[in-house]
Amino acid sequence: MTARLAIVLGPGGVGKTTLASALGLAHARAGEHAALLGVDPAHRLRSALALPELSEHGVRVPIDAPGSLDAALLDPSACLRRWVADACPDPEQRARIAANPFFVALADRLASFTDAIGCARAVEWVERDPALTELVLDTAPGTPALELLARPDKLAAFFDGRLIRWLARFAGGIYTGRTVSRLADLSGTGALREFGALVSTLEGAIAKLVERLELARRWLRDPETSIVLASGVGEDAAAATRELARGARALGFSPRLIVLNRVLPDVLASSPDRATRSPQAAAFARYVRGYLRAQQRARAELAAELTPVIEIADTAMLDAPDRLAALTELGEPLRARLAAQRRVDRPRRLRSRV
Amino acid sequence: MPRVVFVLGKGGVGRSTVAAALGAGLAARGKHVIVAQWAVVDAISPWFGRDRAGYAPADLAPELATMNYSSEAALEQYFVTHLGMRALFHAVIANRHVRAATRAAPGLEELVFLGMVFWLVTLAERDTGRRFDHAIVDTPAMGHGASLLGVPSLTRTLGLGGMLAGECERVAGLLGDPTCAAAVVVTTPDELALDETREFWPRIERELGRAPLAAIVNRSARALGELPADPRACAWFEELAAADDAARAGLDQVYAHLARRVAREHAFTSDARLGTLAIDDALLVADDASPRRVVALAQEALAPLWSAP
Repeated sequence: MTARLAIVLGPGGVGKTTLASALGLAHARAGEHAALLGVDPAHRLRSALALPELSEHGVRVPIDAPGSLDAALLDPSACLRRWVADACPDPEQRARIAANPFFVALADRLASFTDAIGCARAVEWVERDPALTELVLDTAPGTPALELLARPDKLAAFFDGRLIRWLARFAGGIYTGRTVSRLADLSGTGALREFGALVSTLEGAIAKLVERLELARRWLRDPETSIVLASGVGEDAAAATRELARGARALGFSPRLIVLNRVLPDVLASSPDRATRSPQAAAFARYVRGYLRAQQRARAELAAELTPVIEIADTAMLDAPDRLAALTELGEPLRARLAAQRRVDRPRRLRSRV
Repeated sequence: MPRVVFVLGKGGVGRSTVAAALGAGLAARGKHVIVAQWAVVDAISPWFGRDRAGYAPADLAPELATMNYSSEAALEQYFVTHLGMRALFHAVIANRHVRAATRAAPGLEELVFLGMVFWLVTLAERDTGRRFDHAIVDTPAMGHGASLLGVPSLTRTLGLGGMLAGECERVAGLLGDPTCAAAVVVTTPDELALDETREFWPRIERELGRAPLAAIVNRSARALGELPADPRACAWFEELAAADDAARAGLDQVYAHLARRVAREHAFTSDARLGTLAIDDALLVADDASPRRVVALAQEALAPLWSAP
């Protein structure tokens, strides 16, 4: 792939969307032609970038920078309909597909399908915009994000598998093998036939999808691809980040960088400790002390990881009057550190190959 | 309290905290409760000083158990233990090609998860001898959690027949019954979490056919009272921050952050459509902000829910 891929993973509430937006903006400031794709069905990217609207096709983020940033939300419904339109020029056939209940279910209702096609959508973006140099993926919190890494393999196995050919032939009345007949006992023949019919009419679109999934599989494993793990100071956030790191490694992906987000300056540790009569002041001082203790715990927990950790302070950033400028500033150290870490990792990977 | 309570919310707002607190609260009232998680790892057991649980229910306290969902284990349990169809399971479901399909098929996992949750409170006693009066469901983060509730009605449209159709109907029926299933939504007074709660509230109403029992504002900053936007207008803060030049910028930053939280929380709770409950931020009200203490705080704050019909 011509563009470099960065995937931001992390437990909920640690600021993944903020960090992904910041990284995308920093890329644009550095002159890159960058894209940011939100793969979280919860759609927070629009609020994070303070955009009036965010579409499936992509919106140019209004910034004054040498490069550019386009942001888009993955909308499985629009995405599938477009892919079908690309593969089936015949309007009658398209109408049949659009009415198939499995297609409607996939396209309109299932959040898990967002993760399933996230990588294929990213590949499509590069196909359509060959000048793209950087692509940042913002993911859903926790487990579904790991699905994003694992799905290209799973889906490719599914669409290339024997079952799908059985089902297509079953729908055509040709196949009467034992496994599919027993499946039909479980789910009814009607549903299996509908599904088989969908598969056989979608042959072209599925072939394209399998091709993109294969490209995505290789892109995810490209040494230039970075997995960034966002973590926070909050209770259990660091532990959850480590679990995600373990999960990613179990799938064969090694995270490049951990970002401990929303760090308070340590100078505050000794500060608001004087006796006070006001209960609010006492609560405030307790908050600062407790936060810094949690910060220490998060640092200690993350220090046990092999992946390098950087710290970022953003407490007040999001409400700054010029949010995009504040976000860009937030993203610059992240971008720089990511590039440096890529250089560090590169020779090591080459050596290990030899 | 309905037999199954789905705890929904944006990632990181404290769904597990609320689920554990609901479970502990009901258990304290003599109910047998299981907190069903669907997570990378079980987060709740360590808060109770226990090892992380897997798929099998593990005890946290008297009357209180937890488990972490796994689709492989759930499918096997469903066919082998519940339906008693070991041969069918090994011939069809465990078939290599069918397995590849069930792993990839979106929606199937959600359906199996829901089936399992309702099985826990209805049929588990018959199948395994273990009775649960309530299942508290620590759902995946909002986008996926809200979609979960729509899965049974969705599968109805697929023209399923046979046994699977009967199961879908059963799950959809239970989900549609207000005495059997309810949802609560957890948020924090942060911008993105509140946005998401407002956006998903109507969708949850639509998928479930009724409003959630409550919106729960976790990490509430209400202990600070009203905070003027300008820190210099706040007498106690000025007293605290004065004569500490080194830390002043940092303290201002924390103040600004908390003042915005207070203002957002106020705007949210005065929205009459959403019945709200608040759980104090442990960092503000307790010197011990351990997860155990946080769950206890949440349990107190959720007291009005024990009397929910």
